[in-house]
Amino acid sequence: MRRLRHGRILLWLARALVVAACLVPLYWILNVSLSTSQALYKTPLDYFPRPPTLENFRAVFRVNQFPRNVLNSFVVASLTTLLTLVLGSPAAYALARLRVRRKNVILATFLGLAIFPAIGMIGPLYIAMARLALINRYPALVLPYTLLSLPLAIWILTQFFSTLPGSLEDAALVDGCTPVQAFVRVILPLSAPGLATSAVLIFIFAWNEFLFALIMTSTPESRTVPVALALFAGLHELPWATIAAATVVSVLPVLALVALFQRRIVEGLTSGVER
Amino acid sequence: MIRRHETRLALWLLTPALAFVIVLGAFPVCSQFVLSLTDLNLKFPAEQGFVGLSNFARLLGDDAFWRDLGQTFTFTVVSVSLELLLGLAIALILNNVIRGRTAMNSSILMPWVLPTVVAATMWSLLLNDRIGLVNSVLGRIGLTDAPIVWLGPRLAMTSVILADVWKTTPFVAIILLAGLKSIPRQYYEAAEIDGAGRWATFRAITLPLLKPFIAVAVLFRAMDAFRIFDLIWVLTGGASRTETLSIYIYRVLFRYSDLGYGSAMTVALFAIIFLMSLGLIRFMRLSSEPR
Amino acid sequence: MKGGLLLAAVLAATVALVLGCSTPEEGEIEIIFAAGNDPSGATDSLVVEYNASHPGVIVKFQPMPANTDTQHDNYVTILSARGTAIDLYSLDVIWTAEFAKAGWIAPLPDGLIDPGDFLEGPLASLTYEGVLYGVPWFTDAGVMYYRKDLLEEAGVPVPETWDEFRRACRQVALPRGMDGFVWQGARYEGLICDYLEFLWGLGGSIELDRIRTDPAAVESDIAAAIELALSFFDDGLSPESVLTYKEEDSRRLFTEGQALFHRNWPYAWSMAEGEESKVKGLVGIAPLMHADGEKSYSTIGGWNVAVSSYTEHPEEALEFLAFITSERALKLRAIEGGYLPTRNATYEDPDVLAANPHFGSFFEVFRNTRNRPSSPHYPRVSDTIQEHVHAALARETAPGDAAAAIVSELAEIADL
Repeated sequence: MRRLRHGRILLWLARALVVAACLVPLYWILNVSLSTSQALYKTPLDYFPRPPTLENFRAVFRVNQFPRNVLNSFVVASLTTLLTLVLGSPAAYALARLRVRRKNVILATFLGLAIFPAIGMIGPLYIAMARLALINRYPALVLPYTLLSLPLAIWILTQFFSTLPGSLEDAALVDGCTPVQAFVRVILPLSAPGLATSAVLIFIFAWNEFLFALIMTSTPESRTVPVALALFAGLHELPWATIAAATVVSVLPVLALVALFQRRIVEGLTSGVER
Repeated sequence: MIRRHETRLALWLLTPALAFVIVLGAFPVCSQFVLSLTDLNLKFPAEQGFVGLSNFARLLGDDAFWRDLGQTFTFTVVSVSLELLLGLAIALILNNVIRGRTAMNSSILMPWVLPTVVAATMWSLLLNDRIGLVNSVLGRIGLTDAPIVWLGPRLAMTSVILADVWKTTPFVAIILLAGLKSIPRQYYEAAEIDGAGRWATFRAITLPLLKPFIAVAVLFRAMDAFRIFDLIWVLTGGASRTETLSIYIYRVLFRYSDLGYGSAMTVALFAIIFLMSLGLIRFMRLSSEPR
Repeated sequence: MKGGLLLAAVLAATVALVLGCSTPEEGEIEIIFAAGNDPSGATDSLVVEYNASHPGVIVKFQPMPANTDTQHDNYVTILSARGTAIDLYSLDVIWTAEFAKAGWIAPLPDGLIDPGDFLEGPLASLTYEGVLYGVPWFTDAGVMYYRKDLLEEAGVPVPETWDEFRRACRQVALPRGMDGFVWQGARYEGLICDYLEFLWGLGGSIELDRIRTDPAAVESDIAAAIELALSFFDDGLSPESVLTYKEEDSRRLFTEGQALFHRNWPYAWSMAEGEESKVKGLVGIAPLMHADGEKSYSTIGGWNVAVSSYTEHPEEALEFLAFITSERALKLRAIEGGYLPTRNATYEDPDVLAANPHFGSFFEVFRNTRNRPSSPHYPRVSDTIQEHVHAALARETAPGDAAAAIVSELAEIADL
């Protein structure tokens, strides 16, 4: 792969194309959020905010719950990620590297859960959460989200753990580690890229989810971003500019997080697995 | 001795996850199976009762169910194929990027970071026939004379697939990118010494070693695509032959409160996806044995 | 471990926020009122006012996504589980039979309101099997907007029948390259409203009782209305994209000056007359068109307020219900939010008319309003009509087949 010298320009063109395809629709949201509400109706359309305005962002922050909703999403997604990894990585480790009895049954349980249509679980889970008096609280979202993301996390982590060389634990055991210590001190650090990838996947799943969030929370203080965004539309009105601004506000913290984690993932990916 | 010790350790490590899944998951999952044998309607509970398999009999004769199954299948096959091809291409061209790596990886993640409802709303704006950016650009560069009705009867499915590909190709790409990173560099160096060409290297090393990652990506994408709901719900509401099984189930469960029939459909969808996944796993000979 | 620190900070902030949340004081009764979001803030200020004058009771306004289906499905889930989290609901006019039959909303005690004070249509929407279940809050009805300037310039009178309407479009809109008629044709509840106006204007009716007694007649009514809508496309009056349009899509074309006629709700008036409109001062409103010898009808929209059967504080909830639908509350919401009041008297209030000069003329247009079919299974009724009418308009099925399918499915629903 390293020898791909010719065609380098082509490669960069392709990269630019990919980045553009991902970013142009998002740029459009940014553009709309910075334009006046009439700008959208101009023919031909302006492709830049002319003149740029922050009015839409002011409108978003006049709805004083919105920052709270962003925080809620953040907390729910973080707790889901944490809980899923805490539950999922030991299980994945066992499945990948240890002798497990009735492994097929266990795998089938997780797979079955992964493919069960979540849409059918909302009703029963709502009833369960209502009985536990958890409606409008974080666990009402964190618990179902963990349930839904656990199979994916276990699957990915199992893949990662099984790519590590088999001699690692033996070496650790020879050094006097207990098996648990071998897992925590040797395997987990080496699996940083896998953990980071899973973490990002889980976080984003929890961040995106709409239906459970809509059903499980109904107070303005407990809502997460996807549901809060739905509140900007009126009964008939659709204030695109304000909705775009709210979208930008809600996406920025996650983008910052992705950029932050991104470096860790890439470092992990390039250093951790090389052998 | 060591073996027994190892099995016990494995059990301890597995217990928390299994316990969580069983305690929290058993009720919602099992209740669907039980409810599918009743005609329970939460709105009008007086009418409830055990009806045996009659919900499933009704399913067999329900044209809407079969129509939606076909549409769901089309959506899944087309979108997942496109996502795999594009995702693989993106992973390959982004692998070994040195300058601008962070920026590039972050930007391909962005579509996926966007909440699905937001992405769907965004696409309904981009694809709007009169004020949408897509038609504006096409018109300005002279490709079209009249605005294209992207979400109208003819193109609705195409547009929905387009939006889904945009949104979830990054998922495939990032998994495959991680897979590429896990391939030891020595293999390529060895291939280089052997004088293997690029295509031969790709076929002999990259593709086989990437297989488990492709399998994970395809499996999870296919399962998700088969259950697609919010994207289509926002973009077309299921009009113009874009209604999927999840939308139908949603209507029956949440709008009609017809728990019996809705649960039967959920169970049927579960069975279909189960078979589909088994088929996929077989097809890819996905190995989960420890090395 | 930067990530760990970040997470810890987030967790700490959360705990602080959760603990710092306002909770009702000892002995205070909390009443939760759930309704579609009110961006004007009028509802918020009414709640603040109410709480100030009612010690011991704290009313909380819980804004919901305004979309009717989103609200419906959310409430159904809560109420199916007999949830007590919400004491008062704002309900779309189409939900009464469903919520009443399910036992989710309580009948209104006699004497809380004087029915004579309210508009008839909205009041009828709240009646199920002879019992009144709530109080009308604000109303809506379909209106035909038109370009006054263009019709006058061409010397064309405002059409009353569909034939006159067609001629006006051909004479005025098509030569200018404008769209003749934009409306709401996407597959959603709005399509039902527009479609029923076509159907009623042709002298048709789709009541479930009539399907039992005379299915063939209903079938031909349904097909005729589909044919009428199809003719708008065939004659080039409506663009194909109408099949993807909801209120704002069609409204935008009209206020951008690209359409001659526009069916919408009254909210579009203030947008047509707003600063951003290109047709400011050029717009007239008229009743929907009808067939020769028939009458024009507008579909009733709007929202009511009802008390949950599962509330733990029915008396306090009723007291707030009376307040939020009082003349004073309707007046404030009309002035600040432009919500059309449901009390006759509010239409004569000089302050209301000063803020909304168009209300007077809407009151005229609202003479012939009509409710969508009432059924405890309304969501099914609506989905059936939406699906088949949309498929016929998209030419996926023939009008006759769609009509037959609607009648047979509605007959099944009527027997449920």
